[in-house]
Amino acid sequence: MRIRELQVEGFGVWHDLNLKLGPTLCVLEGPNEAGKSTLMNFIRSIWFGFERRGQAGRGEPLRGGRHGGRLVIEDENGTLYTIERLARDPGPSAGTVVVYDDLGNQLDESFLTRLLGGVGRELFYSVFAFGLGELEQLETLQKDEVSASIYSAGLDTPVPIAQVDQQLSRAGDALFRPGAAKPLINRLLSRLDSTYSEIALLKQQPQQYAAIKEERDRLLQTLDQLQRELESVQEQMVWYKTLASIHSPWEELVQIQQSLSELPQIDEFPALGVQRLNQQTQRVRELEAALKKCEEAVRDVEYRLSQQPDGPVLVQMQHELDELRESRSAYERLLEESKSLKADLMQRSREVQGALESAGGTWDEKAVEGFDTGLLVREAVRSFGRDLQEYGEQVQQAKFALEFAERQRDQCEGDYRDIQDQILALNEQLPRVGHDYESRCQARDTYQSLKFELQMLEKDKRRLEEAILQLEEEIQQLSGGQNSDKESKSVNRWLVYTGVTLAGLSVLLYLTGVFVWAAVCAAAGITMVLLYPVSAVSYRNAISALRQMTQRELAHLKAKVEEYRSDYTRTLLTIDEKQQKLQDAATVFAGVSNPSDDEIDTALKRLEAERDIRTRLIALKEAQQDCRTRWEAAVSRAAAAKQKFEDAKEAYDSALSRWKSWLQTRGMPPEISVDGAIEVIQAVHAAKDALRARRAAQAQLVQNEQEIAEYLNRLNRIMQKCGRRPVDADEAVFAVSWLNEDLEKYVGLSKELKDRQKALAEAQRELSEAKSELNLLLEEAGAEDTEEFLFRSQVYEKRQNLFQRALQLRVEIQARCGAWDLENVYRALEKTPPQSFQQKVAELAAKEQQLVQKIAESQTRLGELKQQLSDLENDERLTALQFTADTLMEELNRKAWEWARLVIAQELIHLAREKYEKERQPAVLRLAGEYLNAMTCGHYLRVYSPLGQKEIRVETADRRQLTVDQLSRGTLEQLYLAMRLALAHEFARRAAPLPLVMDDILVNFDPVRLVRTASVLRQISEKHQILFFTCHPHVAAALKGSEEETIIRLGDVS
Amino acid sequence: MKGVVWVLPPFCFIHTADLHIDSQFRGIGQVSEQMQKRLYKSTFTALERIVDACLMHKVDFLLIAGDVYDTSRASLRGQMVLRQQLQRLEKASIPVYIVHGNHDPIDKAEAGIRWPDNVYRFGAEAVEEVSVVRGGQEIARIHGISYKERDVSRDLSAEFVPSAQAPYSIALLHCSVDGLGGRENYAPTTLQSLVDRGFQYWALGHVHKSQVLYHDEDCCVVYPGSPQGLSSAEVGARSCFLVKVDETGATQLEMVPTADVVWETVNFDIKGMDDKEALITSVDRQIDALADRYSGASVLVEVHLTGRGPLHSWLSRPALAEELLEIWQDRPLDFAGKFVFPHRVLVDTRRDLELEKLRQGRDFLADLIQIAEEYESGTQERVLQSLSSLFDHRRGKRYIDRLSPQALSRLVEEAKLLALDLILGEEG
Repeated sequence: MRIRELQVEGFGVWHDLNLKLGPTLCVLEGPNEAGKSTLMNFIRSIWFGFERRGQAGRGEPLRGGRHGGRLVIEDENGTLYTIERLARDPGPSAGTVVVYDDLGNQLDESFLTRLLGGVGRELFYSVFAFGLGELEQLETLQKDEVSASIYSAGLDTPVPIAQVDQQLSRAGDALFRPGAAKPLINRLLSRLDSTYSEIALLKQQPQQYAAIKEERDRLLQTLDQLQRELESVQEQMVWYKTLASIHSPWEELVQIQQSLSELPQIDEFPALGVQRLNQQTQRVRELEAALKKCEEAVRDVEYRLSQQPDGPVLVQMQHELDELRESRSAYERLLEESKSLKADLMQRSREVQGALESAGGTWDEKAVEGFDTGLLVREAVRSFGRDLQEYGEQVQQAKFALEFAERQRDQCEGDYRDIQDQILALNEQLPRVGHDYESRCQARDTYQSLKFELQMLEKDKRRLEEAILQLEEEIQQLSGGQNSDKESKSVNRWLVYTGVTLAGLSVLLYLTGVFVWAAVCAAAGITMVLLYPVSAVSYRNAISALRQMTQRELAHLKAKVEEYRSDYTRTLLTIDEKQQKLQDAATVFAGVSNPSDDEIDTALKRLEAERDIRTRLIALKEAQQDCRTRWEAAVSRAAAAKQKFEDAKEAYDSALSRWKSWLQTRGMPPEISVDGAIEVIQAVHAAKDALRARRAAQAQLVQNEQEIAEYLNRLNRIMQKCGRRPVDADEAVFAVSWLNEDLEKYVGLSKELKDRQKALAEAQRELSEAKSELNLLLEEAGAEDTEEFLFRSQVYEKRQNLFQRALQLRVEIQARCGAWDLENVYRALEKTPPQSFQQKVAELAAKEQQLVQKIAESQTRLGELKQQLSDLENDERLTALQFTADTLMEELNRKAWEWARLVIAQELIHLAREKYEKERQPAVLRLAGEYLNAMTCGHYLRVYSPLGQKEIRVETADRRQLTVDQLSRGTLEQLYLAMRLALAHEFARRAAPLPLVMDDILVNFDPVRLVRTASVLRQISEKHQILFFTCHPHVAAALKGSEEETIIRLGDVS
Repeated sequence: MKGVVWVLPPFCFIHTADLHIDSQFRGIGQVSEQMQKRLYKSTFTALERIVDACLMHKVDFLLIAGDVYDTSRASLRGQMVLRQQLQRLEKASIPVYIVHGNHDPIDKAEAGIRWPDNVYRFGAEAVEEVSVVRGGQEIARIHGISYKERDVSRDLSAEFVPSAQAPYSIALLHCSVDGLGGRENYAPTTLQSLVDRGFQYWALGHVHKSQVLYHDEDCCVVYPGSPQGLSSAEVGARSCFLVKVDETGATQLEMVPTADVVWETVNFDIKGMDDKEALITSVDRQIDALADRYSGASVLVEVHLTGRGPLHSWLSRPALAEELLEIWQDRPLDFAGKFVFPHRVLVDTRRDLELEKLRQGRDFLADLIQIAEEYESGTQERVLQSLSSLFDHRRGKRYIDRLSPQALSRLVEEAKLLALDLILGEEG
């Protein structure tokens, strides 16, 4: 395997470095601090990861870039792989490594290990990438991995023994490590311990169960006994409580029996006797009282009848009295109506008076009766009103129109005068100069056109001057070229120049109006340009012909110059002439002779201003004319309006005189207005209505008073017969009422008397019946009188109550005693004093409470025990734990077996290696001897390790055997280098040869050994690529084998 | 007794043994808590099924030939379950006859368990005989003797003598016949001597595999086996025997399945196989097939990969067995109902080694092979020394089985193959 390229993104001093490497020995030379060791560390780090943060050699980028980079490597088949390692934050301190194949596919990380052929970090750092420091240290070769490699090298196993050993060791440790906690077996052991402790606890369950059961049984017995005791106590309590509760009924019963024996023997008595006696006695009393009341009532009615002496007369006159009563309300209405008619009459008179007053003071009732207030009159008044209003409005309108027309007329006149003033003011502003305005404007236009012509003539003059000059130059050239042979070489160019010049000339002539010459020049120019390629080809042949043509051309040009000059002279004359005209024109419009340029400018500006004023004057005059026309129209409109106003006024006055004469014919004052006239007519009309109403009211009143007098006559006749005084109209109504009431009262009393007499007879009959019934009841009770009756009743009732009470008491006692023998109960009651019952009950209650308490406690405990038993019976923990323990044991034994297998396998390998090392001399040492021999020019013959010892000896050419302690520093370094090379070779036998990276390790070598070593390294580099870093040019030179090989200078690349 | 025609009332009974309630389960991989619960309850379930069968078939009695439970591990819960189930039979007036075996010798007192009244336990002092009477008529006579302690080295069967008056004689005994079921201290006897004793039915216990040792018209010698498999070695269905005796005294045997969880092994030879997917699928299919084989029971499967083949290197990768187990365990599981569940994967494959060729080389591998093969003579001490940190460890000694010389030899052999395997690297 070879490193073909280093790509450093950022590592120590290196940043963005890309270094391509040769396949064999690459010498990288550079001064101190050029970054050689850093590059070595970079290679190490890419393979095995960055050092931990903060440690030397980690290579944090000092000049930016991402920490890390890539190695492009090539395997034995020439396939390229890229190993990329970049530090990531967060991420492992070793960085993240990715391997890509040449197609860019990402490969498994284990591929890296395979590439290295199982070479671990330690081995790589010691054997494959080392500096002088590592080389000088013996320890680096005594590290386990390295040492194992030295002694077991050459075992030639497909997988290195050391690797297998490591693998087994790791696998074994993962399963079990004495004293550790994490490995699987250690954990299983701990879990088993805890599980079995729990099982041991749970195994006590049967004993617990038996003990609990025993306690439960004991408790059940106790509980049973307590229950029995409680029952007995409760029974006694019931006995005594019952005795206590029936003691008083029992005593009462005894007393009742005593009382009964003392009372007389009455066994029968009328049912509800006393009640019935009382009722009957009461009834007799009530009937006697009623009889008395009836007698009094008869007497009272008889007295009241005697108080009505005119009763019989009223009964006779009843028919007439009824008629009066029936027409009484009609009579009352007549009275009321008469009163209101009188009030109405008064009101009508006032109304008549009011109407007369509102019509005006001159009106009386007679005048009113004669005045016509009909519709025709009212309509005539309204017509007059409309006419007067219409004519009045017309007068008003005409007046407005007249005022408006006069205002317009005055305004137009004012406007006209304003414009007149403005015109006068502008005329004042016009300049006072000699020439009139038009002449000055004409002179100005002439001046401007002359000025333009002069400018054009000046231009022509200048063009002619240039053309003349140019033609003169050409003439000069043509005449010079004719005589010079040296210029013949440039004839081609001349042709072109001339052609182009002629073309330019033709344009100029064309512009100045010399068309003929312009055409000639153009033709000549084109000809010359066209001639150019021809002349280029046939230059030498055509040269003589050209000379002739030049001669002709020259003559022609000279003639043309002359012509131009005469044109030029003509132009100058024209300019002078025009200048004179220009001056004249300026004099006219400037108003001064030979005006200066400033004066001309001022005059031009003045002319502009004058033009503006004149324009405004024209506009104002037009406006003035317009305004005048409007003024005249307004004057005629005002005259017409005045005429119209006067016509309207006349019409109005005529209508007013007609109205006044109409008023006079109707007897109304002429000054009254139309509205006033209407109001008078309405007032007169109202007065007429009021007079009519007053007459109707007077007629009605007379009729009413006749009817009232008739009614009074009839009434007073009856009053007279009854011997009462006559009444007036107002009293009549009351008198009729009184008479009627008296009649009704008399008739009622007569009827009441009859009823009272009948009731009296009935009361007498009932009283005698009641008295006989009372006597019968006394007989039934065996009593002579009421008193005896009551005594016998009391005795009977008392006896009955005592019997009833005794029965109740017996029932009560029986109920409380239940099935007990009552005789026993009565005996007990007779014997025991009542106060001792309570005492007994209290004693028993205390005892009962104690027992209940005890029972409750026992039952609680029993519940607990039952629960415990149930819990134990249903507790599956032991079963579950035993099962867990079983599975753990299974697992443990399986893992123990696995561990034993690993440990034994490892032990077998150790044993085999020991045997190998003992019996077969390691190939590495043999090869190291050969290398050392070569490096030391045969001074040392071989390297070996005494049997069974891990120690290295060397044998000199004279067969002396030396330990490493006996070697000089240089020789020791050569020995270790030889050993490393041999190890590298040994590894290459099993895996692809790895590159060697050496950091200035040859500094202590003498020149001869340096050269020999360099030769050895070159030889080895054929198989193992070597990257050799040095700061010593002589070392670099020694390593450089041939001229073709190059040394990479790190100073250059950095 | 041959030639005598008995006129008997027909009857039937169930014969079981080795219930091993609360017994240790061996060869179980790491399983979930739910699975554990289901497993340790499986012996309870098996007992329940036996009682169900008694009730369903209305048997006249139940015989239990020892090892009802493991005294050393008996839990109160287990005994309660036993009592509850026997009480079900008591309610149905079915008597139960029990002898104690080596796992539950009579001397080891039970934890205050009160056996129901329908249970008769035979003593350990001498063979006892009990008549079974039905409707006032004796239908059978049962002889039995319990183990007094764990080890009984005498032939107890020799003490059994049938009664001439008995209508049908049954001998109930926990013993090892012709060396079946292990060592010599389980009342060892021979089949011939049993057959010669003159009992119609020898109801035996001790051997966990169900087997009828002898069956003719005069005599039956029967091991019913354990009603629930107790280790990965006790594969297959488990049952008890329903024994029907007709009027003529002819005995008919009928197996009644009892196991709640059946143990099974899928053996798979990797020979010639180089496709990992095919291996996984093939084993998966075999596991599935087991579900159909056992209709009434769940199945716990051990996958045993054996043989030599290219897949060996892959299979010997660390933790691969666990990975494969996870793959095969990925199937619907109903812990309350029926399931098929692979509980462990054993990888016992070998590299295709030409040992002889290696042995003849003169290199490191030859040395290694030689050392392993001659370890007993030379390096045994160092090998044992290397193991002492675990095997002589205080707790290691307590929980890990001692390595017998045979086991050690096997270990060294395996270690040798492992070392060779690792040194030779991946095949191919």
